[in-house]
Amino acid sequence: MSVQSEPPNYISKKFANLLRRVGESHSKLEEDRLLKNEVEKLKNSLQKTNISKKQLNEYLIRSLFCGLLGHDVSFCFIHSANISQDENVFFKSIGYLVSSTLYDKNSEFMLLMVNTISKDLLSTNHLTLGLALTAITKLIPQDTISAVLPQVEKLLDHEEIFIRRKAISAMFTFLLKSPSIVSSLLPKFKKVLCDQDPSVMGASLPIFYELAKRDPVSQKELIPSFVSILKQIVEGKLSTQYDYHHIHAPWIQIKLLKILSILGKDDQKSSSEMYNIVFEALKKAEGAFSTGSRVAYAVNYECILTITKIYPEPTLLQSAASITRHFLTNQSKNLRYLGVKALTELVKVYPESAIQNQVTILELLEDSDDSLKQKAFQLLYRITTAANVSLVTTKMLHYLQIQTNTTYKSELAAQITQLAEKFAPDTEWFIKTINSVFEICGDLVKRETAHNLMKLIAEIGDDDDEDDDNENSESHLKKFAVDVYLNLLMSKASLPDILYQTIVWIVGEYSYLNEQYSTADILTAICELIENPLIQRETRNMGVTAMTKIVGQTKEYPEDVQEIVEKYSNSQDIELQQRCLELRALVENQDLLDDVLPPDSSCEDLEVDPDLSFLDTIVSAALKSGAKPYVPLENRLKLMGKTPPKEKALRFEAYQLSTPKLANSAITSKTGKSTSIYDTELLERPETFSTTQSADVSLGIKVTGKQKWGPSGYTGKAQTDNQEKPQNQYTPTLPETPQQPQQPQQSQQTEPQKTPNSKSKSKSKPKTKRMSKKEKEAAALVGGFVSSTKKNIVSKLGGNSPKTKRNEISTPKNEKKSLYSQENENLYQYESPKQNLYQYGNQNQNQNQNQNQNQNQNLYGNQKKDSFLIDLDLQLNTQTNQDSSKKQKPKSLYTANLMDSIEPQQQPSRSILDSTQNFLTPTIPTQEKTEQIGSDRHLRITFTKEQTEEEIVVTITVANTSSSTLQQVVVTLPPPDSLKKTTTTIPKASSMDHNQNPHFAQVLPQSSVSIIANLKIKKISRGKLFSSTFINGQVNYATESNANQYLAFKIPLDLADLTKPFEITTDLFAKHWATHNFEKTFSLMKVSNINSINQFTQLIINTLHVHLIQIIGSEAIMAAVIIGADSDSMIALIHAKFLQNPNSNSSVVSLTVRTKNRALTENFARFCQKFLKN
Amino acid sequence: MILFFLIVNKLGQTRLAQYYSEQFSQEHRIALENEVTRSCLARKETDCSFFEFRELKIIYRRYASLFFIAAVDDDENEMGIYELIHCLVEAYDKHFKNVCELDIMYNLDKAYMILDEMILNGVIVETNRANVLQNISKFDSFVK
Repeated sequence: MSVQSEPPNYISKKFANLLRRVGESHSKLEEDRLLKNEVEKLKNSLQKTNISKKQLNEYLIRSLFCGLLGHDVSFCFIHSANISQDENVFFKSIGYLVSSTLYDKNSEFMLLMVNTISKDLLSTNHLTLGLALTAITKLIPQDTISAVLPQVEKLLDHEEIFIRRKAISAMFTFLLKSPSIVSSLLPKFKKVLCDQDPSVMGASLPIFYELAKRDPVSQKELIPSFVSILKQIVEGKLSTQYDYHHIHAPWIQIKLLKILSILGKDDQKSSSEMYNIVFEALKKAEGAFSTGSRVAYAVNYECILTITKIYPEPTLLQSAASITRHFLTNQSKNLRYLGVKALTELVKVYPESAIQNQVTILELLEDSDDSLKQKAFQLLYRITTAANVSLVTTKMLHYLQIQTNTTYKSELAAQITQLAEKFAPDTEWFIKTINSVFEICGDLVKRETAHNLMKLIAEIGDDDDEDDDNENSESHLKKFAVDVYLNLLMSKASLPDILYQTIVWIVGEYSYLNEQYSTADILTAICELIENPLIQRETRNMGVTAMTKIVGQTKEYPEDVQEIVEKYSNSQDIELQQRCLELRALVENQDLLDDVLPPDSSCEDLEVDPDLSFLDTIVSAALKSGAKPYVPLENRLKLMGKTPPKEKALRFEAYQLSTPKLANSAITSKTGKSTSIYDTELLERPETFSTTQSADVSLGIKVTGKQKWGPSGYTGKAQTDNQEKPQNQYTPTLPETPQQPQQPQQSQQTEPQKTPNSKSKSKSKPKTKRMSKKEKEAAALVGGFVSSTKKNIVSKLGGNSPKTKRNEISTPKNEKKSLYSQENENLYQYESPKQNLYQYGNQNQNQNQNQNQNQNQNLYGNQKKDSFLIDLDLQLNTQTNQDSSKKQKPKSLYTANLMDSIEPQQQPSRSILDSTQNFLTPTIPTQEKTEQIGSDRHLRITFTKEQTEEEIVVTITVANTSSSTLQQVVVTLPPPDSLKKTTTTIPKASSMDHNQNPHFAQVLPQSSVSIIANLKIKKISRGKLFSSTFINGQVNYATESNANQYLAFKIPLDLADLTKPFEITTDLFAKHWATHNFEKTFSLMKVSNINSINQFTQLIINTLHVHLIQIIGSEAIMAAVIIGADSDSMIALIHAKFLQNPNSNSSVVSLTVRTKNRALTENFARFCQKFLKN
Repeated sequence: MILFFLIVNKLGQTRLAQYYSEQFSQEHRIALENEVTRSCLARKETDCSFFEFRELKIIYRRYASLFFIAAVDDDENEMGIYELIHCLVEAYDKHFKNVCELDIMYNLDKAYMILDEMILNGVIVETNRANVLQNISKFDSFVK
């Protein structure tokens, strides 16, 4: 480059001098000094009056110069706004330049500029018009678009080419800032696309690219246009002025290819229109390789990306693979970079390409350039499978260690944990891997990772208590985990907080499994950790709770712990203080401590009895002996004539600290919804939380310190055997997907501890007989991927639905299914019926051949389709359904009243039940089993339960087993909240008191009386579960000696008692499925005694009164209805699935319940989960 | 899409900066430019010309003392931008007759104007050199 540039005549010598000096300054300090001087000078100069325009112009350029170097030159803004209104186009251009470069988008001068722009848009000077249009793209605020839009629209038809070009660019600005405002102009844009001048056409392409990105379907009609434009360009029909380095209009080609790849995505028909031209563009650009034209590579790279995005075509894929190979083996790193990126896309649709390039991939992983390396790791992440996961993660961990770029580091850490969660060969490996990640960059890891890890360890061995062999190996695993963490703790190394937290939790829970260290040593180590000033307060809190647990388990309470507890009992940190105080209180009451923190129970359900029914006996006894019944505060105050205090009174409890609550303070809410360690719901509602806490304290029951996972929260059983994934029964690929994860799993089970190298080697069998060491390693890295994905691709090429396919192999976000997300996954599938529908529709279009096959396999797919139609018809079916409620049993006087009052809120207009009622069979299976529920010296109480069409009939028999007559026998039988007693039948000789309590004058020796109570469902509330419902009754009586006695009893009642089969057809089931929106799914691994779907179904039928509708393959559908329900809201639809992994003993059962009522769904799901676990 | 375009000398002094995205506020720009420049300077000559910087993809090309730097989003063809930089430099070269750093400093307005002909809204709008330079010289006739 020449150095003898002369400054133009409008640049003063002075300025030229400054530029030189700044350019030659040797330090930032010197530069800043020079510029500060200059800025001061400029400020003064600009304040002067009567400066010539030429001077002003120079001042502005000098200001811009200083502004670019980071100095505040806002004093020149007003001048630039002024000069942009000048009539001289040159000065105007300077004004626009300074404004558009230095103004902030909220600048107060913006309106001035908009004003100038709108005036300039009316100019007859082409240069002025051009300046104004350029300024629009840089300056126009969104709310002023409408002011200039009409004028810009006119300019789209301007005679001058460059004006038209700039006008369409301005339109693109509008589209970006306010899409709706230009929606009416779409026909105009299409006209511009057909502009005679390629330059104008080219400038319009970004608009169509943007529109296609937002709504591909709307732009599909333009595919022929884009194809024909691309064809003309590729064939060289444009002026040679557009050529660049032997390629015709390369950037326009690239843009067109980008548009096509969006429009052809997942659309075979559209894609087929493009195959030819993409191939032509590819070949043409390939032909220019020999000239060294880099832009040819750019076009080729874009072609490859397009080929991987549109519907796959074998020839194109092969060409793309061969060019990718060319890129990868090129000397130029830029090309190799493109090559890796291209390959990363290519392996998604053409996995063989990974094998072809495995050695190159390995080389790239060793490259000195981080850019290339990172891309290579990205690729590696894509092609990781269970077969190569250990090798890949080892490499990744190594790189993680030396990586300094935090953004990339956290990304890589996330990738490693994802891979580990997805493909872990065994738990031991998983624990080790995650620990390594924590150690290297714990501060960059998401907290869920630690949570998942703890959960995993906690659940080891919880699943199959009956299997002794397993039990041993699993307790070994737990011990392994404890040893690992104890060693870490004892090493006194400085570790990230997240790892400390994992350590203290695990050690707190399971330290008793270790044989290496004494309790005292462990506690001392925790004490030291707590005293470490560098740890987060959260870690400290968890430490205290861990100590509480250990103290509870071992009954040791050494001095150093006491000291810590004393010290922090006065901590300013309220949570820490509370935990210490709890520890202190619990130590004094060992029994309570055992109850509160039983060992190894973090995974067990915490049953909460919200009614405190265990106090009922005491309460009723107290009432009996004359105590006043409890009246809630409000009512009491009303009785006393006072108004209840307003809610916003003084709060006496401590305010919640702002920091998040911890793992160990999780409290299972009464709905049974699990609160996980990092439950955000809790965090977001500190008020609820603090009240719970204070309540605990006052009752002396400390709930903190132990986490209880609710059953619905954990998918549990599946997690230790992590490869198994429940299949999506909606996708049409059911038969082939299961094989994917199983293959690698088998290999791990047979040879779990072999070195990854040899393992993977045996898996991938490349054609070459002898491989170099490098090749071997490469094969190990890449090998497993192809074998596991090949099938998909083959079928994909064969014309399978691309949508579902792509979901399987692409998008890392979707792939984030961790070990723990099975439930969610299922949930997601059910919750998006539309999407599935859509898939189904697609599938129909795309694969007529496979249709029959799929219809058989895809139970729900069909039904979805039906339900879609039903949705529309639903409203026609408005006949009300009063009958069922009218034909009650003969009623006694008061039951009639009762019946009226309990008639559920009917929703007559939505009665889809009308049709289904007809299917109800009158015969209800009755169950009768006499069970004893209570006895004492005088009495024995037994009961039977029986179902009728509408009610559950409970017969309680009170037998006098003594030799004396019992007097004044009163049976109290208050039904639980969810049920209503409709009638109580008692022998004539006896009577009822006003509380409807059956009352017998006397019961003779060795005789018995029976009371029959008819119960009917009243309401189903969330959280009050049938599965845990009891009817708490009591018999009061007097013996001959006139001593008053009572005997309490409990009649267990579960959901099964309240359900009856609901007989419907598969079609009806499908209809219902769509309208029953509340859904719950869960999966369990290795449920004992279930080895087939038939057994599974049988178990459900035996336990719950359901009607089996159909078994199809490994899936079954069933339906049940709540007895006595007279609205359609009480139907429960059950879908069961059984998945057996043929290569191992593992199996997964999953169950989905759908009802119209959230509470009902929850009840069913919990009930099923419970009996399956037992 | 191109998010910003920089011309920076090897001392880290910004010679030209054009932002196409509102996500970069004026106050943060200088620090960002410095960091990006430093990252470019830290790279070896044989290293590849593309790298990731936070969420950005940086594509740079060095001509004597000047770095031409484009930051783009995920959607951009790296090699296309790499060549676009050269296309721009060719246009500068043609207009300034053998361009050097001082040319760009002395003629900052023209340097911006040429860039504006090629890139607007962060997208490439014109690469035909004749079209790009069509109007640039016309402005000079208005200064006496």
